[in-house]
Amino acid sequence: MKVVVFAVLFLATILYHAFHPLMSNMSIDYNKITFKYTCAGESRSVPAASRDTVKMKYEMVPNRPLEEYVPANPETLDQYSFENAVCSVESVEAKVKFKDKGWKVVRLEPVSCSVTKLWYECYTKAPNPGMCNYYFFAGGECYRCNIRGELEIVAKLPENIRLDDIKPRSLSATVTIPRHFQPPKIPGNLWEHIEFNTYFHFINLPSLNLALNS
Amino acid sequence: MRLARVLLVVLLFSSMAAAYTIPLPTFYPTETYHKTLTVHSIEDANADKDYSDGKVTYLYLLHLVYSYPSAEKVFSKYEELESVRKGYAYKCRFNLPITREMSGKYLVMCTLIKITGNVDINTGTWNFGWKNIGDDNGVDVFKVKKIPRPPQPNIIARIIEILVNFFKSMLGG
Repeated sequence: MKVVVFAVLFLATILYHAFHPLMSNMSIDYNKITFKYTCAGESRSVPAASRDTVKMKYEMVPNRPLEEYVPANPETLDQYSFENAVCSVESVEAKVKFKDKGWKVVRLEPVSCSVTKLWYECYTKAPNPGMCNYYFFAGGECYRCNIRGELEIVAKLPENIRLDDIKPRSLSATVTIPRHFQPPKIPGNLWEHIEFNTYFHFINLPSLNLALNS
Repeated sequence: MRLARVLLVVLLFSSMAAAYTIPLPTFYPTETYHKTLTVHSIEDANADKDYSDGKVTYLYLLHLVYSYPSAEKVFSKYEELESVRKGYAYKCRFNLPITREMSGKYLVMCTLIKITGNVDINTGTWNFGWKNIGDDNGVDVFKVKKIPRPPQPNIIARIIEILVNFFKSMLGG
């Protein structure tokens, strides 16, 4: 019995560690990409933003979420406005050392979230363009891409902790990357065609003949 | 006899038509052609700019001025519309300055255009088609005349006149 329990626990631990870091799920909207980002590839705390808050950096590293299909190809990634990406943080946890109680993982109160770096790394083409949902964005191209970047989170600290001993842990944040809205453009030669045809349509109207030939 | 009478009537009407000339509004350089033309939509249509489903529809109120018969474009403007309703009137306002380069007849047109686009999923390219959805009422014709050359002063005649007057005064006339 003990062996079975031990085996189950061991397996659960292995699976947890294999899939826990960085589970993101992405939703593609009409003119933006939003993905939910939980936990960090790497995280570190930086000098405190103030006496009562801490600034933490979370590196968004590529890892498996196979559903990260981006309606773009490596040449057209500039359609995404990386510099205008925004994030909001839902929850943040850190292991902190309390002055009297030792180390403990606690949930911190998030204050702000910002995207300090962001880029895509695209690899293989999707087997089916429909995997990008709105696959017309980039002329039918749908690629498997990874989103990389860095989030900076400011969170409020609990009392009675040693400021130097904060180890950021899990994170739940939503990152939104706006997309340049570029509907298909009407080609110039179509306008010329329309104008000429309109002209010939009108000059051939019987009612206009007398006026034009007077 | 009857045929001859019919032919006579036809001949009479055709000669009347040939003799009849519509007086076109005439403009000179420095003037401005002001006119509002009205076109009616022959169908209901809505613009659809959401291209994510691979289809788009654009609606335009087209303003055009072309020379006739040389077919040179003088002016064009596309006013984008969100929707059009069958039978409704849409107006094109023209304020066209007449330039010194203009001369002859000009055709002024106002019509409604529906452009539809569909994406080709295999190539990723958009293919567009268009349709005129306006009636034929939005049209006008005007004429531009060059400003006539001013008469040249006849210097020789003026000199002779001065000399004649001088001699007349010398002779005590």
